[in-house]
Amino acid sequence: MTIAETKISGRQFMYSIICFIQASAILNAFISNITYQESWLVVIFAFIIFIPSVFMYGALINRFKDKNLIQIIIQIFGPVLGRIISVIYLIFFLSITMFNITDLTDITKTSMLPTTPYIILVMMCILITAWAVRSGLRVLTIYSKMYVFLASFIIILSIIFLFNVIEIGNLFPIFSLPLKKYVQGIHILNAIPFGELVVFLLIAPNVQMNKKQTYKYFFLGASIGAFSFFLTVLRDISVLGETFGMFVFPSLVAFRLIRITEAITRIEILFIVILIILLIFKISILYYVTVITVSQIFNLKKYKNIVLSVGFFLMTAAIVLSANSIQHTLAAQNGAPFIWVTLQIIFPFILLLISLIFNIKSPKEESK
Amino acid sequence: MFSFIRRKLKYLRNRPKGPKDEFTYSFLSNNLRDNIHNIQSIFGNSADIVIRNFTFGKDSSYEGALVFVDGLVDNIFISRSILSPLSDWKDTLESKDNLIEFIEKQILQNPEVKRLSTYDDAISDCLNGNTILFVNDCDTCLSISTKGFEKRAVTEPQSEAVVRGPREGYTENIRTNTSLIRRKIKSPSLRIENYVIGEKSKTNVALIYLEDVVNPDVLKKLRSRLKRIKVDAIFESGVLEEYIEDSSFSPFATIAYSEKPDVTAANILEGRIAIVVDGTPFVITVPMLFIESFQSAEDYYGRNLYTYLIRIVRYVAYLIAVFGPAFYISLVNYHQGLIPTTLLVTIINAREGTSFPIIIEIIIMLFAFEIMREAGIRLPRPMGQAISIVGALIMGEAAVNAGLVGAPVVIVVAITAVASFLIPNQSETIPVLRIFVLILATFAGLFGLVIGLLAILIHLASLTSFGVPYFSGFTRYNQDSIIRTQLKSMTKRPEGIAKNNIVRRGSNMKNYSIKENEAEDRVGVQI
Amino acid sequence: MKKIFILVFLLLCSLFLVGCWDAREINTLFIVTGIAIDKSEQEGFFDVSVIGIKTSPSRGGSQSSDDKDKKIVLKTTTRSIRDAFFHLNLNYDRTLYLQHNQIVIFGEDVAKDDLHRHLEFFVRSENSRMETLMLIVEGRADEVFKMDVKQEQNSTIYLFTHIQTISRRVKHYKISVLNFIANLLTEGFHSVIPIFAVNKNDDDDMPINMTGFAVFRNNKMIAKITDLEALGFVLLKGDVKNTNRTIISYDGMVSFDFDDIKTKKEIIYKDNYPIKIKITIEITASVEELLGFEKYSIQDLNRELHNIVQQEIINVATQTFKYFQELKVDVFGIGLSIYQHHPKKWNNLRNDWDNIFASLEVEINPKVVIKDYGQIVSIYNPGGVK
Repeated sequence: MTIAETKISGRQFMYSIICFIQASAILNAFISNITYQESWLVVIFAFIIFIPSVFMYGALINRFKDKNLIQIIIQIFGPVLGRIISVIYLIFFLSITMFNITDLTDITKTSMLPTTPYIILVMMCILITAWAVRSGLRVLTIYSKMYVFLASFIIILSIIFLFNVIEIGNLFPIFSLPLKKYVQGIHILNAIPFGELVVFLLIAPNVQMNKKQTYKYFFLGASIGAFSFFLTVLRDISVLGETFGMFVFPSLVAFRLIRITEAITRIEILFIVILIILLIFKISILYYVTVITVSQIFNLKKYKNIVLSVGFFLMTAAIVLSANSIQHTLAAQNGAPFIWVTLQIIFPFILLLISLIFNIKSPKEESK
Repeated sequence: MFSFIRRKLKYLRNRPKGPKDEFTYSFLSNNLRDNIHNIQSIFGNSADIVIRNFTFGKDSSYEGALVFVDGLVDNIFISRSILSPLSDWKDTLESKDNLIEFIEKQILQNPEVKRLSTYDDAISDCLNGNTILFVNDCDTCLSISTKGFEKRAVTEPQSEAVVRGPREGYTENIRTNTSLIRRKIKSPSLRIENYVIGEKSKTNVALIYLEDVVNPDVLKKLRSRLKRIKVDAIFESGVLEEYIEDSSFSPFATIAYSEKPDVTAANILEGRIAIVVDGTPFVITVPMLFIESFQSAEDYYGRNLYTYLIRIVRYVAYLIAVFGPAFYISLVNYHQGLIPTTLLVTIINAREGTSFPIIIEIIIMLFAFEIMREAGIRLPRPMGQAISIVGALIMGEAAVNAGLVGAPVVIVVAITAVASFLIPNQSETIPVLRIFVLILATFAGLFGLVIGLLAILIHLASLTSFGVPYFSGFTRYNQDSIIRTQLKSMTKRPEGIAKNNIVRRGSNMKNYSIKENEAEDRVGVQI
Repeated sequence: MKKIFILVFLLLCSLFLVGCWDAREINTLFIVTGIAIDKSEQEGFFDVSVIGIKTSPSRGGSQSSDDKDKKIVLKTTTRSIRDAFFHLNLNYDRTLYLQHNQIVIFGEDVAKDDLHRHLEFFVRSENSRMETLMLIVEGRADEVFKMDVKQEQNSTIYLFTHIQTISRRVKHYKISVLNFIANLLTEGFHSVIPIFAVNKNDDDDMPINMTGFAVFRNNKMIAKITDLEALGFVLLKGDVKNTNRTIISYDGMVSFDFDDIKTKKEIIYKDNYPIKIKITIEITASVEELLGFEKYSIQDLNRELHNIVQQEIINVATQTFKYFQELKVDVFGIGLSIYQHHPKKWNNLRNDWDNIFASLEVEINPKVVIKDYGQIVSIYNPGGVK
């Protein structure tokens, strides 16, 4: 077993999920220029559509209590075919990690360090996350609660400070776009912030929770996360109005408008800093999952030895594949979701189906 | 490269230390002269070793000798409690075999007498201030407690002054110190374990803990680590600390120290283990949590609401002390937009006259501050004060006027320095972290600062103190962490520290004013 | 533990590679507080002027700079805004720092031409701020930089403070670059920007006066509204804390403070076309100055004043609405509220909205509550008693 020795509590698992979605909230540009001022509606619909997937994940976790996704695949499809499918997952995890690293560096460059070379930011990010990943899952998730409180705090604080520029009218009209746009928006949201929760299938065996708690914590985590995503989108639309679809980081622009008396202005950096912490948390979870996947595919004894190697690969890939913000957004809108959703939702569903039909379970003795 | 250095260090620490002492575990002989001769040869005619030969019994038929170290014993006590009873005894026994037993049981009036049969024990007892009594024709000797050396009285501790609370502090004497703790906790389950550590120094070390509260895992770990220590000498608990702590490379201290018995006693009651080292007034307690640095004895003696405030002040001060200069540099060098326009103009005006980059200014000032602090501590108190005045008033003012540093930098460094005094337990950690974060912030602004913060957090989360997570307490147990709750509702011991006896007490103590008011109401109804 | 030290070591090494790319010593910065953009004499070129605060060494907190030279003005002529900053950076010893820019000032000519092309840079560039205030100046904008302000450090800080102060009462005075861009993108809505004129009169120390609003159709300024229309605009727009109006009637003179103006627009449809706009203006008024009205009793006075103020509001608002209908610009967001609440209907109106707006019927329905008469309860007439 290459899974980390330590077990984390169910609550920490929940906070990690919340934090994971909250970290994506800053990057709401991938739907902002598709559904514009109706994005908030799309968030609600997307989450409602996502709820069955949450329970599907929960069922999968409960059926395979001591196995993570890769181990499940290998158990069901056998060592050869299973490994081939796992490699596809590995590529998927690598690419979302990379995308998030690119997002992090993009936002850092836009908001605070415009001329600092890409490589430095990526390297610092990789090193700090590598350290976290090496320290194990317990260290990785220990601050998730704190991060959730911080993120909720800044969402609430920014809404309070932006109260005088919020225009409720900006949220209207509703249902004015063609149906195709809603479908596209819902699809993207299901792929990017919500569908990424599939990575928690690799962490779940290290969480101490019973069957009921699995559903409870997974659902609570996803819904609180989705709610804060919703609040973020709502705030950005009501503040920015028609310009919401214009910017790469709408939240950053919304924060720019915060003005506490005449002296304390231009404080968006303080808010962005907290979002950067959240993003680093998200990247470290993705990084951990990638490392676990690699060590599982190659049947390594200890995952810690390959942390830095994977990190350097990620770094190189992130630098080579880094694109400008328009290309990045296009990729997030047009290319990625179609492949991703297959891996995020459809394939786990097939796994669950197969395990139900052939009654495959793990551990086997637990058959009541 | 690092591993090589570490291996080298390990080797240096553990290499054999000269030839082994030859008298180890050899038994005493029957002959007094041989014994005395051997003792003399072991001590090598040291000037402070006194050997007093005498005869006693009927017709001075028995021969005896006292061996003790001059200065460690009470001479008057020896003559009164050993020599005079022996010389008063003018009798004889049928058999010489039970002479030593007879002396021990019937003649000597000392409260503490031990029978020894090896040179090793005799020598170590002698060096601890006991007097050794040899009698001819006996293969055992008596070790009689006659300790009587100069020691400091119990005084107010220098490093932890309190406005309200007990003013007694530890002394250099281990017995006094253990007695101070014993006087606070008069429970029969308070255990004191003795260890002798140091090949040459033979320092007495005592573990103190509550049998029914202590975490047995921690105790086991601590015992095995203490037994593994093989060094020449332990002079201070800080030395011992470095030998037994979990990660000695970490900037954070994972072992707490105190000079006040009430603090140690409170820690023992929470399930910690106190380690008292002979010869130092600092008692260390394990395991330590990060939040302990922010707790002070007075938090529990003062008003509850005020401690809410003062705890928050301490946390803020800690943040300022670590991140202050880094935050300043990232504002001034990277995110000038964050500074209000008028303030920015003032800062630029201050910077116009100076020539160094701001990082150099900060380093100059931090360095100057460390120099002054060190000078102030080491020098006698009146001179230390003079240094502070020269440093603070003259150097600060003059440096600004001379255009060496800008006035804002002086303010930042000063507030950082003052803030770090609020958390004395972390005073050796703060400067290291401060420089680490400062470097990061110099090169990457607030992003660097965030990376530094995360690095510190990750390190803190992975630290343990005797297997107990160092940074716990914030996450698991909230009765006494960020705020100190009311003592009445503080019902549990910190989790992880006390394992098998978590509950401090029942929660039957409600707020009295409410209870009594209720009672009054009831009375009112009856009437 | 060892590995962690290698990590920290690498972390620090990576920093030394950074080489402080973005670090700027603050004494190498030129703090820009205002930008003025004017049309140049050359076709297709613009005069860009920049004003900043002069900094001077101070020791021990005492400011040694004298009051006269607190500002520095830089000027260049270029095709685009980015070019202008590039030129200025090339020709000035310090780097221009735009984060503290308080205001962007446009000359009337530029505003009449195309305002948006000068704003693109402010929205796109991460070095600049898009929440900077903007305003139009009659004549040339760079004249603002020449004026002498006694109170603040330079004229743009003066203007910024000025706008902040007045916008606390009427928030429509404050238009930022981002607001303007958002308005441009919003359907059925046109912007107005406050317009100022430099005071050439040497008698007083008020360097600049606000003269009204510049009315925009999309990105072009098409008209100016004066004082009275500005009041009407404020009333119709609503959401205003406080404004004032003095009315001279047959019986005397009364000066009102209008507090908490709230305006509701109700659109009445017929055959999918709005035919009528019913505008309800809720005002809490208070009497601040009162001369004459001797012949009224207290009860009558209240009724009379109520009538006067209602009539005045109807007059002013109707007049202003007519004025904007003639201009064919919907600055009140009537089209916007149709769009927001009836998007399907809006689809039919969208293309011809300006003409439909011009032909709308309007009904002004003021609801005034006179709340306060100040400290005086009786009607007194010092002239009449003696």
